[in-house]
Amino acid sequence: MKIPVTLNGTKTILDAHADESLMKVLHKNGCISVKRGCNSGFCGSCTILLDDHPAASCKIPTGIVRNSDIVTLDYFVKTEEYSVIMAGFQKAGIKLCGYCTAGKVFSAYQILKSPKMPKREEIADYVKALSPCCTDLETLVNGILYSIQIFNKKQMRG
Amino acid sequence: MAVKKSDSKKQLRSLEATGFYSDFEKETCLYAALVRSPAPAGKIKSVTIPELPGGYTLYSSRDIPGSKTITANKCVTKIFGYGNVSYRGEPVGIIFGPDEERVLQLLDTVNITFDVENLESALNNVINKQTDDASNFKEFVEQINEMPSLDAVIDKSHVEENTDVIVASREVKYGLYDKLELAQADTKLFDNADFTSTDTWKEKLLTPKWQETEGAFAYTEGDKIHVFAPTRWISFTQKSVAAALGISEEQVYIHKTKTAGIYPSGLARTTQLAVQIAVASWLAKKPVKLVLSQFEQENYMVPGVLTEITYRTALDKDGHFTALKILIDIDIGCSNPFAQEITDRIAIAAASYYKPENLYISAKAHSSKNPPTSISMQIIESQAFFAIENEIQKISNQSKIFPDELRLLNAQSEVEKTKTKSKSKVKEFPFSIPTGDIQSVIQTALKQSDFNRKYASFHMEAIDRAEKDSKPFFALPLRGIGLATAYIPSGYYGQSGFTNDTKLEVTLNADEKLTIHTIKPSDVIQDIWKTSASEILQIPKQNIQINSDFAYDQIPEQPEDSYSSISIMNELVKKCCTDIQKKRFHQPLPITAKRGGTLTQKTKWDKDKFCGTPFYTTSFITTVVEVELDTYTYNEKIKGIWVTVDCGELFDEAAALRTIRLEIQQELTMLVKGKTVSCDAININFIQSDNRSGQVGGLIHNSLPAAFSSALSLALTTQLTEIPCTEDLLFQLIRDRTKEKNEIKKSEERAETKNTEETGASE
Amino acid sequence: MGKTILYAKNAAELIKILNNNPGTKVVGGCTRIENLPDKFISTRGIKDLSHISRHERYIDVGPGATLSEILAIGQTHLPPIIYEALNCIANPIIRNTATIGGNICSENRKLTLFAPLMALDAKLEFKNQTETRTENIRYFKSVPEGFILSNIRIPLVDAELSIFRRIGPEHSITQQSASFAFLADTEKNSLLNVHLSFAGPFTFHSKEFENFMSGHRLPLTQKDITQLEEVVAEQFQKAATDQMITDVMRQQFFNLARYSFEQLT
Repeated sequence: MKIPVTLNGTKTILDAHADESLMKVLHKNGCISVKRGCNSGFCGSCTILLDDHPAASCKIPTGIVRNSDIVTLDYFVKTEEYSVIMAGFQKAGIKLCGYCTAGKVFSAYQILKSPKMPKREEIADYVKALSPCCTDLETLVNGILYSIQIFNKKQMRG
Repeated sequence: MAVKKSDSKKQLRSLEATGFYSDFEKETCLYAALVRSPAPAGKIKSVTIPELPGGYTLYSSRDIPGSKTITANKCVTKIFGYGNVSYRGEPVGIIFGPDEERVLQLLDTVNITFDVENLESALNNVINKQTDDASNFKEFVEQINEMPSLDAVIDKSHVEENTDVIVASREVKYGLYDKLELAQADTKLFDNADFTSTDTWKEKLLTPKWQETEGAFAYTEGDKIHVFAPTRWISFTQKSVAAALGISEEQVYIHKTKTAGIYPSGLARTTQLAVQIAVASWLAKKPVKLVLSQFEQENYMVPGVLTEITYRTALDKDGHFTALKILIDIDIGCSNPFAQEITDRIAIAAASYYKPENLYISAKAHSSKNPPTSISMQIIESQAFFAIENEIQKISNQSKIFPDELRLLNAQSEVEKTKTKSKSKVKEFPFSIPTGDIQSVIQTALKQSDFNRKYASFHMEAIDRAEKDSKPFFALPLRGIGLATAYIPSGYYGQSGFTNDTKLEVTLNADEKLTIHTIKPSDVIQDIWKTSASEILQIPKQNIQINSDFAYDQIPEQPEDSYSSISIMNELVKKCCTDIQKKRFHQPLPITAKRGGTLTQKTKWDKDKFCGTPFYTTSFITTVVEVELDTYTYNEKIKGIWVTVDCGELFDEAAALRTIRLEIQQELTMLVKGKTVSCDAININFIQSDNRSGQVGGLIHNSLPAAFSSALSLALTTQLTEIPCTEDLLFQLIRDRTKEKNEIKKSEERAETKNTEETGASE
Repeated sequence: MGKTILYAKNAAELIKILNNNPGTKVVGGCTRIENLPDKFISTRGIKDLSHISRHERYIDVGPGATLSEILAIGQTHLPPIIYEALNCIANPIIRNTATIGGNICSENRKLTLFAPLMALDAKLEFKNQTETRTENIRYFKSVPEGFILSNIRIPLVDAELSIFRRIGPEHSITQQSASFAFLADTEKNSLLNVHLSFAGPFTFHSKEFENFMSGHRLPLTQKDITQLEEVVAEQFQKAATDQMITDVMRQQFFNLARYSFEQLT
């Protein structure tokens, strides 16, 4: 079936079965940042922004995202938020393996967006389930905290 | 590196990993799935499909144009199974087409017929003939009745020869075991020992679910084929693809892709997948991709091997191991090209750095009907360390000698202890493990964690609780603390199958830029090399690059793991740079220096007698784990992990810290099945010693499981002999101990009653 | 493959579509549906089923409200057992799409929120084209034929003692999963308003036991606890059968019940 969505800023028609995994459909449509990991929504490899909230695309049947706004990491890399997050990660010494990037970046993005300043434990709680393939929890939390710092500085300057 | 004209003609191949194979796509790409044998044994007669829609193809062994097998270290693996099936799930064909879902549906319709050899293959033949369950039930029953009788199918003459064959073994004897028969030595050593212990230990390695599953992607370009796979043995993959397709290696381009797994393997099994896809792509002249499912990854690409290690330990009252008898059973599945090396490494690690007065090790690796296994350098010894460290903890509890004392007492052999006193005629202990200052490492961890005080207190608490309560739970959480030590070696001298001649070429170019020509290691190691080179040659780090381009016939023959030994490679980098520095101002640039692994250290290890110093260097770790068990929900929690590491010269402490923390996090997902154990605090210390620098990766895998299970065993006052554990197991252990205690209590009461009656009667 | 999805703009349209398409099942974020029904319709995007409105003594939540949206209300504005239960469901990424309706209406086993909602005496509202019904979640088995779940009313109970525990793996649902909730108030050294519930392979609550426990003098003595244990065990065994519950889970329930009573000593 034809499912209209806004994919990475462009109105697109996804040609997929209603119950087909959104992860597979996006990957086939050239969004290679959406990767198959645990297939249970935990590792974060398949994370996308669905209506500006991180969502596990492996657990979403394509049919239910009709008319939704989908952003994958392939597109998100062009945003300022991404630069801020990567600057924070770099400062913490994080070198992502490339398979888990979407989960870590979009989780950082959600934390960055939240109105109140989260505590270290809250951040750790938020990201602890993400796959431990290349970055340990403490380093990831440091990276996110640095990102928040950089983001706030930019906001103040702006 | 100066590119030779001949190399450019041969077109250089990059050995640098780029991207993930599952991301590669091409127009008209076809998706593949493997047809697998449903029976573990039997002789395949045919692999067919009743109906194949247009655009879909099924290939099996007979379609392979060239060699139907791949051979690694004399271990032969069929590309697609034919003849006798080796294990249930053995790939016997490949089906592919434009729609992935359709391919999976077609997979269910593939018919594999067997020459009847056993009950399973006979049943499979009957099931295959079924078209409509409802109407053909009578026919189904008739076919069942027509099946060969049980006698026929289990008749040994019809069954293929026993596949449980010992493929590798190693025996080590020291002390009385070297002089007497085994049984005699056992009697002498164990019958009158002050303390003895016997137990069997198992550590099963779990496949993480979050990593990219194995697979490959291939496409053809004229008479060339490009294969993308997470291989770590490019030369072998290139050779195998060429042989299977019956073409020259020059026509084969292997593109190494990244791997995001904990236990990178990328050897024979990955090559087999690459060859399977290459065959499909070559014959169809279309791009083909195969991505294994999670089920396939967990069942057919298991990390490591299955081991059961049985210890029999004798201890005297002063805490010396008077005897250590170790029986190691290794199941390598239906094949493993590295069986001998695995057996040897586990045998060496089974005694760790301890030096009992008498030692017997018997390690046997046997084949079985399980899927083939492989080798992963970082975890090769972890099961042995799990076993020995738990065994020591157990006998420490029995003998009431503190765990650290017991370890330190036995870290030196009798010969070493009495060396200064007199020349001993006692034979040298077989293994001399080059560890640094064990005492400092252990003592630091103990001090940081307050181990001894907690150990004594939890011990008393556990005994107290066990004596008082009979209910299978207690009001307060159960607490325990465990200690484990281990090492991770670098540069093993006993490698079998291929030589360990690591080579390195470094060139200072005319533009003062340095090129290191070798397979690119991890980012951390690259940085270490660049730092070393920069310091010696006084050039900026950004002027140093690592070149992994090789002509197709110059690709290093060994698997990559033999290149990733940080200590050896860094030494080679330093030596090459020093050589260049000496020539630099006397010779025009470019200057190239080449170095290989030195032989002098190798002579310290006697391969034939299997004794000496087996490793170039080791890094040493002590891990302490404190656990708390919620008696209401049986949830385990780690209150703290204290780690002390001696890895010699530390090049990048921040990176080493991150590596250890990451490994801890990974290990926490594998201690209890289906859950991640939470941890409140992690404390990591590094000790700088004169030890040669070694690697840090793998230390946690070798020590944390044992420390965790020791701690949990103390909390439960019941020995956990297997990891990962489950809630059910914990509950069972608590319940069984309570039952056992109640039975002991009842029999004591009965005995008391009987005594009272007898006394009454006599009066 | 080849399943059919239908779409509705609002609750009324949803009801109409269900009536006109028998066999259609309502789904939420689909995070737990490995095998989707042949015909399904999602509450995603239906605004009047995704409402969250706070009142003085209760919160009204639409079945399509995501677990993240409910958590965003804030810890201080949610009953502690609901907040704790929400936080231990899956992970934040899944909670962004998982809905409260999907959690409550799960077919085969009861999921994490069920026990705390039972302890709070949450009310479920069902609507069809002509009628609106309410039911206490304690008696809820499935959405009545022809109706849709339109609202969940969660009382804002400020209990003195409030215990929630998840049984089984931390963030995923398996055969070993269940949840336990206990609420109690005290007044003049006596127990009041006791609620104890369990949900997993089946649900358990016992008005009989809760009435028996209410009115007990505090602090509870060891004898009281033993007696309470016996009563709850008897009630629990009636509800559970061997096929439905493992020994481990049974023991975990008894352990948690005991733990709850011990907090009143």
